[in-house]
Amino acid sequence: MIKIQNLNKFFGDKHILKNINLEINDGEVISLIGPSGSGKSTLIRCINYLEEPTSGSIYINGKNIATSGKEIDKIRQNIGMVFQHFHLFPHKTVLENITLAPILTGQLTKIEAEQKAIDLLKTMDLLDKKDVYPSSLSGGQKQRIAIARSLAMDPTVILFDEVTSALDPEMVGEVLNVMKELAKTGMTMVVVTHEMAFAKQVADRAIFMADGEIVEINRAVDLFEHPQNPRTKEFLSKVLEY
Amino acid sequence: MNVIELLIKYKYYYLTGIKITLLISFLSLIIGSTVGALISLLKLSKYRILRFISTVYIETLRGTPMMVQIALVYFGSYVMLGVNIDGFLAALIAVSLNSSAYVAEIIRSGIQSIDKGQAEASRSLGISHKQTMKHIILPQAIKNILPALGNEFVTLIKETSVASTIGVADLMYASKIVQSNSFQPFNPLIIVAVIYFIFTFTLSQLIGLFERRLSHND
Repeated sequence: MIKIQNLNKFFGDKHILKNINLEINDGEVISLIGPSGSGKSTLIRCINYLEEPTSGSIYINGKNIATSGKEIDKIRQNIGMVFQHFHLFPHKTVLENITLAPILTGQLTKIEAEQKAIDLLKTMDLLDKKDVYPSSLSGGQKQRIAIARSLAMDPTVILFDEVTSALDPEMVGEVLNVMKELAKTGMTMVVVTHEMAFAKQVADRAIFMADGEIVEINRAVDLFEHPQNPRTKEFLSKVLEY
Repeated sequence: MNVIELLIKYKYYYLTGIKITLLISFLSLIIGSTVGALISLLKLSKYRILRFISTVYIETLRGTPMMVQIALVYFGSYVMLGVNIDGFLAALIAVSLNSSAYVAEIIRSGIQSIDKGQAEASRSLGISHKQTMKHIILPQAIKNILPALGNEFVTLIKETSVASTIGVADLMYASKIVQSNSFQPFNPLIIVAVIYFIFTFTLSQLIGLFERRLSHND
């Protein structure tokens, strides 16, 4: 459903993504690991066009997103994204955060959107927070609301950009659990993460990136247990040391 | 004559002055804010040429004295365009343009102070650029914009006093007339100072009230 061909991205004269080729299937969970600055986040930000690729093409369900110009809003409605720093809308209540996009894009009526938001909050176990503003939530709660917000649009894929990196350690689990449940439902997920256990156990395939390149791609379990490339081995030996 | 006697004797001049000052202030506040909002859009545009034009506009108006600008509009309109405009109109144009430059900068910085992640989160949900501005960015930016805008409006009221230099019968002009008619240099100035203060103080209190209303939910 997602096909990336010869994708290159430059920031100024810095070559951030080097000739990326990748296909992601429906229902697949992909974990994207690698050192900081290796281009992982830039890659997933290219998928929903928050970053404009310098060259190459990205097809979502057969549609080239670069050439579809004004249709990008439509395409993005199918691609959820969850950010490291949550980016909840601070001037909206939790409920409004979740209902805003379905209402503004005309996908749901206000009543439908609210019902859906309430259902989502129930599954996140956060229904009691529906009328509060984000500033009164903990990091883990904010991130679960952010996931609910993207789910409200019924996306076919969700991109996770280091979603647990800004959390206090004791809150990482609650967010990962939600993602694990989501993976079980067959949601297509691309997860940039430093949580190696999650990357290994929940993902179907894992990708190791370094210096803007896909160094290794394999079944997640195999990539972690039998890394082939020396750079993958070196990286894993460092992060799995403890 | 003491202050009270002066006020009673020359109340006609003061009342006219109050009327003119309030009129110039109010109209240029409206015009300046509208033009300023438009200029801020240019300044935030993705097109370099529009950004350049707005930068030149803003920097020129902020970098030259208001007194020079008002004289330039008043005399320049005749020299350059051959039209004779009266002092009131010249003052209105000059004060509006001057204020618009400051308003443009206030709005631009207010919008840019909002974390980029807010727009990204909104756009990533498929919400259009326009709706993102309307529902996400502007409601948050307004809280940063309002206090600075309040300052600008207070400044604007005081700055209208330069209209007196081209003979517009505003409050400042009234004080000059009363000074020369009464042969008193000091008391007439005290009177206008107090009147200007009442205007600006009232305005800043009103803005403060509005701000508190807006910030109730965070």
